[in-house]
Amino acid sequence: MSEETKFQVDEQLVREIALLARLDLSQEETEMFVSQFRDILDYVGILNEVDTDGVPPAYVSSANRSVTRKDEVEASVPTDDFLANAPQAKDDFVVIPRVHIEQ
Amino acid sequence: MKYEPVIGLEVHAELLTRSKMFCGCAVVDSTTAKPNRHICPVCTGQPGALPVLNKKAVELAVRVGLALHCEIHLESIFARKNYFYPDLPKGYQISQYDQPLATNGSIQIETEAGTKEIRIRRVHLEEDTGKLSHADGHSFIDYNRSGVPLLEIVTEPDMRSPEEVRAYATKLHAILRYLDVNTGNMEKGVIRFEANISVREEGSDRFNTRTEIKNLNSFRSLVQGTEYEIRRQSEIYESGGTVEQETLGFNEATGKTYSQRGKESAHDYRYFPEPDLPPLVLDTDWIEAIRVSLPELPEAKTSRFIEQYELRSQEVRLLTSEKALADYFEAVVSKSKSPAKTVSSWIAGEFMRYLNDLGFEAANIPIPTEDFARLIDLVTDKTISGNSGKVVLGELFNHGGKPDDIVREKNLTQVSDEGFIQETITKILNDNPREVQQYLAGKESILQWLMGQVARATKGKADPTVARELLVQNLDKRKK
Amino acid sequence: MDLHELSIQQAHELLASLQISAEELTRAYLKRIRSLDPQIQSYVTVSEDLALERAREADRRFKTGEGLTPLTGIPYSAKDSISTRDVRTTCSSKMLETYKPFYDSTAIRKLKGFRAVLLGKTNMDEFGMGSSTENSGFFTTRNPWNFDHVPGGSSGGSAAAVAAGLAPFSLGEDTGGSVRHPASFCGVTGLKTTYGRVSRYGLIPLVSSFDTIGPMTRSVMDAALVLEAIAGHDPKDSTSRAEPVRPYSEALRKTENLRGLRIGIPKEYFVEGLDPDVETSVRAAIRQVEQLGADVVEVSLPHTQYAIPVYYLILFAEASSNLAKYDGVRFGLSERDGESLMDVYLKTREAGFGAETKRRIMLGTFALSAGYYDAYYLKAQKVRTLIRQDFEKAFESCDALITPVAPTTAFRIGEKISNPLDMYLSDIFVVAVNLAGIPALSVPCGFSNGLPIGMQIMGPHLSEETLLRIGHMYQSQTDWHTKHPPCWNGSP
Repeated sequence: MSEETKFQVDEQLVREIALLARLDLSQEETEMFVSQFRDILDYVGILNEVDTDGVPPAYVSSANRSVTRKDEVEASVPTDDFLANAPQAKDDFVVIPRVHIEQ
Repeated sequence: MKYEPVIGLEVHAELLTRSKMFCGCAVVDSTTAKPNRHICPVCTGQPGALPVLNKKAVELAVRVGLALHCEIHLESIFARKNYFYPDLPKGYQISQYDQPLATNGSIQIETEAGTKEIRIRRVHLEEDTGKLSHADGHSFIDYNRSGVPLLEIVTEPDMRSPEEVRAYATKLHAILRYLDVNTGNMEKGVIRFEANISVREEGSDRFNTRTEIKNLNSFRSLVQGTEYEIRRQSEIYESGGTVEQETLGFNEATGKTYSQRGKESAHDYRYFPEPDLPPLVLDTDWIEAIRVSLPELPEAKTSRFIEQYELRSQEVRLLTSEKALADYFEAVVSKSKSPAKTVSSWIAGEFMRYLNDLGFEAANIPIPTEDFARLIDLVTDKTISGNSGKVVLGELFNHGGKPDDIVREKNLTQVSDEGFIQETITKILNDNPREVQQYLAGKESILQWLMGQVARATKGKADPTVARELLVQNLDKRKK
Repeated sequence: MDLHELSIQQAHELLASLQISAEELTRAYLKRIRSLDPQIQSYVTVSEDLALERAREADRRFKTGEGLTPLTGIPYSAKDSISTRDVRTTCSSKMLETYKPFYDSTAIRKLKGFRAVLLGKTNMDEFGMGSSTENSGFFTTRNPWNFDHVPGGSSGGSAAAVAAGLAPFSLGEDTGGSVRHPASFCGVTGLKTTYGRVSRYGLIPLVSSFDTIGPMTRSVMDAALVLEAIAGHDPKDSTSRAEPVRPYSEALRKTENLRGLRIGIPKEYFVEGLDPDVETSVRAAIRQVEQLGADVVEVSLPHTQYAIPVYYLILFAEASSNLAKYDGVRFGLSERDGESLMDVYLKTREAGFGAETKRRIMLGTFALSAGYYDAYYLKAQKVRTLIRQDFEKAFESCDALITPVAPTTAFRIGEKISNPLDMYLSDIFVVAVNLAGIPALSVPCGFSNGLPIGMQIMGPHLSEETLLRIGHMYQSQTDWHTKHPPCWNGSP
């Protein structure tokens, strides 16, 4: 990495990222990720060698443009097919522990 | 210290398509449909399912963009907004981020100080989430609403009072109805507001820390929540505190806002271009065709009504508040021999009362326009009295039928025969000597009471002009 | 000749002339799987009953002669990231160990329409993240040529199954070499198709921008037959291409030489770190292609060295988003012993994902987060443009490019697993193709110490026909693709 974009990979950063990604890392994993993050980010830093001034990003892989469908209703799937994979279901709803709502 | 609020609104409006935004599942009333009936791999986020964009949703979005005087972008892209929530089946919402469909528009609102322009920052397409309900220790998820097309309309922070917020929201609601892109049915949650609010010392031009109130689902909540939050922030500053940037919820029962998300779950949506959808490239001819097909919008219609029908702007505002009502008015005027002003008065009076009381939408007024026109004409040409007209209107609302038939069946034809009316008056004056004395002693309001007695005795059939004349003559005679 | 030795075309002829039945053929494969796969471990799921049912359906077709296709009654396997209705589709992840899709991917639906017979689903690196199948949440597949070595990845189960005669063909999926790399390691033919040529609908995504389904077969001719069945426009995939599907197998039958074709040899692919035996074999193969009439010239793809970091940054980002739906709410693993919804999320994802998957989700979440987006994701997408332009320029003067598939032959199990970066570098010759979205064919071209070597033939968008013609002509002159591992022979 060039100096401008260098930043500190530490346990706190790894923990913040883990929470954002909803991963419950163990202390061991957290420590391992700190060192692997450093190695990998260091390695991808070679991209800074490349002059990309004025180069557009290549966001789109598809050769297509404006693919749309007509506003037509198609058959839906049976509720039971969908719920067959659900860890918990009741009265045709998917059930989860109560979402905490602060008042 | 006097504080001034700075308010911007984000409005989410469902688009009136038959099928969902990215799949062929039907868009249904999610407040009444059985749970998880209108679902498929795409809108339940099954692994491997892919979105395909509904062209009608794009068309409706372009309609709104044009109506709000926006710049429509010929190329826009979709983006993934990443966050975890159980009503969001993919773990991300397909939305638009740095290249939205439309930007830089405006809406005119009426304020006490006159007309004011509220700038529209952006209009973009996204998908709705499923719905959660809660009971005991559990939450229940229904994905019927997941993937319904939503339009997000974002203003600049141009509003300076809850009244302006209400005026903007009302105007936008009317425009969406005019464009026929949304049912406007707020109780069904098809339009939702989010308000960004900060306050500052009056006269300052700086922007202070703002808070965001989510899920304000009615005009009432919007205004109440805004008022509460302005007060809360002003009080914080007054006591020397600082306002924290945060997302708030609004409790309709208490009328208060509350902190919704703790700091530890601060969100970072990690937007990036949606690889499953190619860029949306629009054809200028197509956009022009939509522009040409746009209906007359509330502002233009109001001006025209004032000019064409010689109405006062206050009357017109009611008529043009909904396109269906304006259309109804114009149809009645065209079929009636009575002046437009008379039609307008009829609509503003008993008619609106019935409409509201019986819970009819302007879009499905049960009285055919020719029947309402005929009713008004029967009163105008004095075939029936105004009171009888109201009776007929009630019949039309409650039981239907033709005005002429109702007049005949109920024997409502107005009586101008002086002999019959004189007979009634003599009887009434003789039966009510005390009231006559009061009148003769100078209590003129008794005349109106006596007129009521005449109307009652004749079942409203007596021509009120004739009856009043005769009544005054008779009373004058008794003065002597 | 044993039934498992038949090519697709040979099997078709015997089926069509009723000399064998689809049920017999299917039973032969199921029997082989039962006896041999416990050692190789290429299958995650064998759907025996469904396979026999489909085979009998195919046999009814052969009796009436109605609606026959070149794949009617031909058994096959599919990588376990390709959704199959009512057949468990796990992506070799504990997260999806019990997940049975309620819909078919388009590729599987098309093969059903062709009356091919699905035998089961093959092992892979979890969600496609790896080059060895060592990252499978269940077990590591063995290289049929040497059980101490990896089969490559991530479609390692598919490659091993085809190489060991446990399926005549398999559907693989290539995000950054996942078809070509294991094809090369196992000595089979693998085609990475043009992005959008085969519908991705129902393919469980790793990187939506790069993922492609492609055939893994014993010959280029078989690959052409399978591609004809699965390619084509799909209204359910907005990125699927509308151009008509070419009659690939017919084109191969008509090809007699490679005259008029210009083949480029990118110098950046023959550099330090390339195993000398691999280089020798690939250079010999290039001479063979030249002898078939093609012109061979050296070309340059100057940004090649940046392909790996660009590929991985985009992969991390998209994968972190694509894997967000595994949250224990609607399907798959769900750890419910905690109290809150947050506990469900954290515990499910902690228990369901393997180490490499977590690592990539973490890196992607980081690369997309506010403050780092421009330095990583955006920068990578810009360099990607330069890599694409390298290919565009090369294809202005060349019809195809030939390179090695991997710098070495199959490495030993365990050799690279502890160093993720080292593992990433084994994809050095394959990932640029996915960045550009172009097709590439991997064909066997030699051996080193008893392990196969593969050559890669790349072409511009939708040039599958050209690539298949080159590969087919090469196979008509060589016998590398007809060599089989020791476990191939003998009735089980």
